[in-house]
Amino acid sequence: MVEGIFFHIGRFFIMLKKAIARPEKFSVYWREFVRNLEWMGIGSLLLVVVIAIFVGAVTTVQSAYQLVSSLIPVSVIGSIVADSTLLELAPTITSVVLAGRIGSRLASELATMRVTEQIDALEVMGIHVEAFLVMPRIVAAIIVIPILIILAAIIGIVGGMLIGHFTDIVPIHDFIQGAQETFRPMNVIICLTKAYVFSFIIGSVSSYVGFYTEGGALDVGRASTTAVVASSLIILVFDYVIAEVLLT
Amino acid sequence: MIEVKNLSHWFGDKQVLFDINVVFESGKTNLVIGSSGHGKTVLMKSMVGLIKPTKGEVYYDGRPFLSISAKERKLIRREIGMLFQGTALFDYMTVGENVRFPLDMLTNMSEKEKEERVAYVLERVHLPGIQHMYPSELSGGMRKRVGLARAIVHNPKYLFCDEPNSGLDPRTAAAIDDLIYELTKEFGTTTVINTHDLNSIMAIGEKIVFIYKGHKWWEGDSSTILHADVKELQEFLESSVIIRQLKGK
Repeated sequence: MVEGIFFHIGRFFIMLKKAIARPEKFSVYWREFVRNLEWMGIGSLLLVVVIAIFVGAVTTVQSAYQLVSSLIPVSVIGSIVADSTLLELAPTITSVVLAGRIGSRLASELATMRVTEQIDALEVMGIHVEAFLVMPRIVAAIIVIPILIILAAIIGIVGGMLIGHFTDIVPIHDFIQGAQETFRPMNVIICLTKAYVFSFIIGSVSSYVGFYTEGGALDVGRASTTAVVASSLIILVFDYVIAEVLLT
Repeated sequence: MIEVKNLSHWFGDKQVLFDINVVFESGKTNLVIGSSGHGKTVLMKSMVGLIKPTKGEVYYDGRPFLSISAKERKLIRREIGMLFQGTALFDYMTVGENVRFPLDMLTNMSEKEKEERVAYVLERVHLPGIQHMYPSELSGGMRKRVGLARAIVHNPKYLFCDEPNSGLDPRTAAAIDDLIYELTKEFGTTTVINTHDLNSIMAIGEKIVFIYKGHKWWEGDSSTILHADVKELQEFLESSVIIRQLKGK
């Protein structure tokens, strides 16, 4: 078990090292990068928007439910929604959802290429396979996922504010006042740190799982599931590590 | 010319190739035949470097391939074209993009030159004008021919074909064989074909190597194979009703 973990960690870093090789033809790598950028970004946009709206809305309603004392001003809801969305909900929930959406596709795409000998074909051509297949995917993930997380944070807070307003929980003015009162630039830094770390985890771990898949069609499905589970677990571990390092 | 010297390979403690020594000649269709599971694919994968054999060396026109650095090996690999059993076409690329991929990656040709070359090789495999189609829209035989077009588009000196007509109807299989034969003659490639298809053996076997239980068991050509005094080879051949009838059994 422990031996297996060290084997995977070692092979993961070897894969990353090989992925940094100089591209044979920059234009072909660029095409591969743009293709990944497109499906990751545009394909995930609607999902992220819907989830962010509901997360913001639920946070507002639950915060109001917990404010049992009339001595606490309702503007506190704005502060809770903004802080929790920036610090935890937008980066972590969005990343776990994207581990399912992007991570599973990344892994299954590479696993399919492996079991159908497409990776062998690239290797026979004398192409740096790790560099061509893994690097554009990781870079695309590192660019797209943080943008989606920032979008999720904005939509989550705005969604929470609008739900609070339309359900008469908290007026917009109070919500904004509460959000501004406790706002700290550090919250944005933590949100961005998580966004970049989590996006790297989704891109690299899923690529690793897919790239080293062996077997047949059944193993492609298995790789997809493993990529989602492994990425999600590692995201949660790093969520704690980042909180511990930056918040204490 | 490709020369295989003392090639052996073990999977764990099971030996699958035993000291294979063979020369594959330029401008000829060299067939590696044998039943499934006897080491044909391991031999081919070792020759192109997809498997690192436990022992032995492969020489491409006198140049060692397995004992050199990965960087040097890549240079030789660029002279290799390979048609895979499952074609290994990139699903997300069109036929045109698939075929021109080696040109994009390995050459400095202009866009116009690449387009012309792609159109030419697609015409050579009798599939003109299908550049815009995706592999999923093609039949098995068409996919094989596109795979072949991709394998030869960069004018390789060495062409490997792993079971080129498996899963195809006899007519399409024969067409693929003819095509490989024609292309070998036209481009002067050293062509190595893994097959257990008896029609291919008789039609294009200019040099035939019979692999049995990981050993090189017999070597010859299509004119001598039916009369070879090798029991295992004759048993392999006589699995075909046509061959049995041909031999009057």
